[in-house]
Amino acid sequence: MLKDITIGQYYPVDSFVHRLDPRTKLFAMVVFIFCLFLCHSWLAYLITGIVLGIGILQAKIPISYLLKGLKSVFFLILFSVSLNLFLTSGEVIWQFGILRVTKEGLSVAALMCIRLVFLMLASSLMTLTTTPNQLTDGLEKGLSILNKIKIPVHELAMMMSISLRFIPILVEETDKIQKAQMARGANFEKGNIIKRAKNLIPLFVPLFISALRRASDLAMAMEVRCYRGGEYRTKMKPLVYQKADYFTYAFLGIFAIGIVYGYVWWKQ
Amino acid sequence: MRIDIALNGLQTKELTFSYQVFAEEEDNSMQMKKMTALDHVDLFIEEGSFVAILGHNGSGKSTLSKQFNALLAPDSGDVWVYGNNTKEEGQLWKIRQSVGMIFQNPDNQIIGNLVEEDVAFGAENLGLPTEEIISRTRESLAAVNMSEYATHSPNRLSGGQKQRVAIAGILAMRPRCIIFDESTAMLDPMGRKEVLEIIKELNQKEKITVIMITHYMEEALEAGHILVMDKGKIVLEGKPEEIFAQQDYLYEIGLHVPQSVELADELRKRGMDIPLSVLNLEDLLKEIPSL
Repeated sequence: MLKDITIGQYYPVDSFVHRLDPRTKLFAMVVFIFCLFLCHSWLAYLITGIVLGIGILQAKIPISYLLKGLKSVFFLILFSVSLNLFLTSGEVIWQFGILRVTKEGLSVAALMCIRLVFLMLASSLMTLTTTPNQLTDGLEKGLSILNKIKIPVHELAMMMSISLRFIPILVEETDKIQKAQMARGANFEKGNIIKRAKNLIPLFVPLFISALRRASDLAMAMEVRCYRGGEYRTKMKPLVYQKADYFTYAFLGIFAIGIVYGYVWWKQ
Repeated sequence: MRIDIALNGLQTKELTFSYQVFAEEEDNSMQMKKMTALDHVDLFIEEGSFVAILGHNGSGKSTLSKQFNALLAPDSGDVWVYGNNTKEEGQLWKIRQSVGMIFQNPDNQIIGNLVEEDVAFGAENLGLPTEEIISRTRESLAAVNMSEYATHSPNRLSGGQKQRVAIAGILAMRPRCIIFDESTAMLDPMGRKEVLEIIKELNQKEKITVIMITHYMEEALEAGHILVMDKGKIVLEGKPEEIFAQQDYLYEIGLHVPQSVELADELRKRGMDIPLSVLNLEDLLKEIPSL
């Protein structure tokens, strides 16, 4: 089940997008999604699609691999498309009982579908080309301005990177505990949903205890290695903007201005 | 008794420490109780030495080791690490930089998502310049023979390899002393051998002081000096041959002697002439006349 989620899985190839600074990619993703919600015409979607296509081509990630990631949100897309399809009022073109499809509904649903697909593709494009570490580094440095309003950015980034490190360890541990409890007669598959949820208690209690013990050990190991928050820390691989990053920012700027201009024009 | 503070080693004087624990009383009520873990410990560990600390569970050996890098502070008495008192707040980072520690569970002491990132973690905390961090990381990985794994994820490594990465992480901070707190207890025999080789090499080549807390008597044979702890006190101190000569006393406090020592002892009782200095298996084999 955990294997199917493409978001958060790094696709290791060397490409222009892979080499970009994580801050650039994060910012690009935010700007792209923002622009996506300003799109209201087929032309705007076409331009957005072209920009996304350039990104995907530059990232050297096979389209089939990217599309696999869409499987996990297929039902979400289906749900929102059918809501839009059947609940938009307008010129009726097909009717069956209370279900009716309108011309407006058809176009809104199609655009909604494209919007969701683009959204997913853009976010997986970022996570596929950025390692979790780069991502946390990028978040830490990119958001360091929030330190001024007393948000502990470094600590949050550290927590994120430690959780990423411990996910596989805890998954393995869950598996081990599950087998140990099954050997003692626990049944995780039988019964209705409430009973099954109750059956999970002997799984979660040991898991939590072990996680807390690990956390305490880890804290000690970090203290031994002189960890004292982000204040005095330096980095082995500090983030520095390259030419490609400035180029990407410029490209993105032109795209965003175009979309915003189009939106303002459409409003009038 | 030493009163002057030694600059070239770890020293404790009248060191006492107790834990607060919840314990069940006779009338079934829970009460906070004091458990003495260290009881007036006086000792001196010289720079560059290889010391093993033995003792059964709860003898205070782990608590003692945590005093040396200021993870715990003494209730009374003092600990000096290369002349710095661990009670002085200002010395804390200097002390932690000079005394590294490797724990038992290899998974719970690796912080980075990549081997090299983890090794760099300590050096990053010291606020060193980037080039220095990179060169130290490279050197430390080479010292534990893990250079080829620099960009691997720690999750795929074996226990012995993970412990070696943890050692590299400590080495990157350029410590003068490393404490191994049962660091080989969770490893398979191969991993244990790997880690022990590295420990010996660090002590001999890099002249790093090694304090090894262990349950394996065979490992203690590698040390130049052994401390035996029981009920928070140091009850025996000396060279391995002096310690293991006192078999009966060791049994009494819940310890045993290495198999090779036991075998030598049995042979001696049956009239074979084996010197007391023979401790490990290889030397013993040389002493036994071939049949």
